[in-house]
Amino acid sequence: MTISDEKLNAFIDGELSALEMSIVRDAIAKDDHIADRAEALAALNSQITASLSAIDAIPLSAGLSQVKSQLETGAHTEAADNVVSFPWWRQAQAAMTMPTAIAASIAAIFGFFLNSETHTGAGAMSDWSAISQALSNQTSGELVTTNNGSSFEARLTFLNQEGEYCRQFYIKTNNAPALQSIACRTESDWQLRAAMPTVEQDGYQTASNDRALDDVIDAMIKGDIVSLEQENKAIERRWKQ
Amino acid sequence: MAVNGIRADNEDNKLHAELLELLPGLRRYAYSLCGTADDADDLCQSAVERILEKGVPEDVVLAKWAFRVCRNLWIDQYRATRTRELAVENPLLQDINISDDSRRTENEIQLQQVNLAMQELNEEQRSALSLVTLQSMSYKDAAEVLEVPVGTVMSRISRARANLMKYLNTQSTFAQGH
Repeated sequence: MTISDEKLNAFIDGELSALEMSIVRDAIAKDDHIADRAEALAALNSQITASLSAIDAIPLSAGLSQVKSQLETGAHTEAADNVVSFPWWRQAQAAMTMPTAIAASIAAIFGFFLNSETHTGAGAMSDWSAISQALSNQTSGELVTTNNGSSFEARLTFLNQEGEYCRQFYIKTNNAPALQSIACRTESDWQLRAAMPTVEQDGYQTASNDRALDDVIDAMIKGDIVSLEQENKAIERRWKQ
Repeated sequence: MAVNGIRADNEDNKLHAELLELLPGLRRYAYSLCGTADDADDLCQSAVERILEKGVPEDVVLAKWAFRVCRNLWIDQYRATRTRELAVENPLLQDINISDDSRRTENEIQLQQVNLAMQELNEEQRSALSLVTLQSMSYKDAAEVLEVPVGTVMSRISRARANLMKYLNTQSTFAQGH
């Protein structure tokens, strides 16, 4: 089987359809040459990221530092100090760039549902896929608790400025602080946009946490909150507009 | 900043916050374009200042817009200079004996080689590769930043990685035989 270089690159970047991904996976399994090429491309990606991320360790120039201070002064960060928001394009895996404590919490919630009876046998399913599945299928206000004590609850749904469905959700595992998060639906998946640890009182976040997250939602939302009826229809349509 | 078609003044705080969030990614992108930290910081600073000064059109997503501004500024202000510098800095033209440089680890040398190799790519390939690999953008989003069709991004990514591999292999052979 011949797999073009373009297709192999798109495979590495996760840009192919599920069917095409599967075809390339089969080719990699059967053809050592394609497997070697895919491995080299993936290794190159890591090298590029490592090489160009080197600038993160270099102190900002005086000029850029001044610009950063100007941005900090101009931004309303008081309420959102505890919130980690994600640029719209970033994958959930970007947790590595977050403050350690929150990153650890998010890393822990990525294990949500794993080893639970709900998804027994779904070993190949990525951790984010489990959350994504819950976001796709649960209506707001439905608390889902697994046998291992993890819990998930979609709290509300809204449309953002870009017209994407976004959902605020609560998630808690045994070994990590509970998180209030926001994920938005892109063409085919949910992408994490914001996450913050939450101080719980009887399973619900405190008012101050509410306010911080409200600020984030206020900045994102366009129009009203999606009603339960509209939510059910969106679930039926698999969140297609 | 109240300009017709530009985000209103009451959104300035949001703009500052969003730019602050974008700054690390924008800096990395600038670094991928410029190849040196000093130039990258200058470019990143210029891009942010330009956005603050001119505002952001209402119908664009800031993240895409910021990268586009950064790239256009680089094309306008830095490419000519950089092209001249490259002729001087081309490692193949320099008397570098990597094996004698005991101060640097093999890994550091490898990363440096990748950075140099990135600078050997043309801007179109480098931008596409940087946006997709470093910024984790989808091909579709990168296409919007670069204002080209998705198929073009796909093709540029493929050629960029092929060229990088070719260049790194050449460099490795050169270093061994030097």
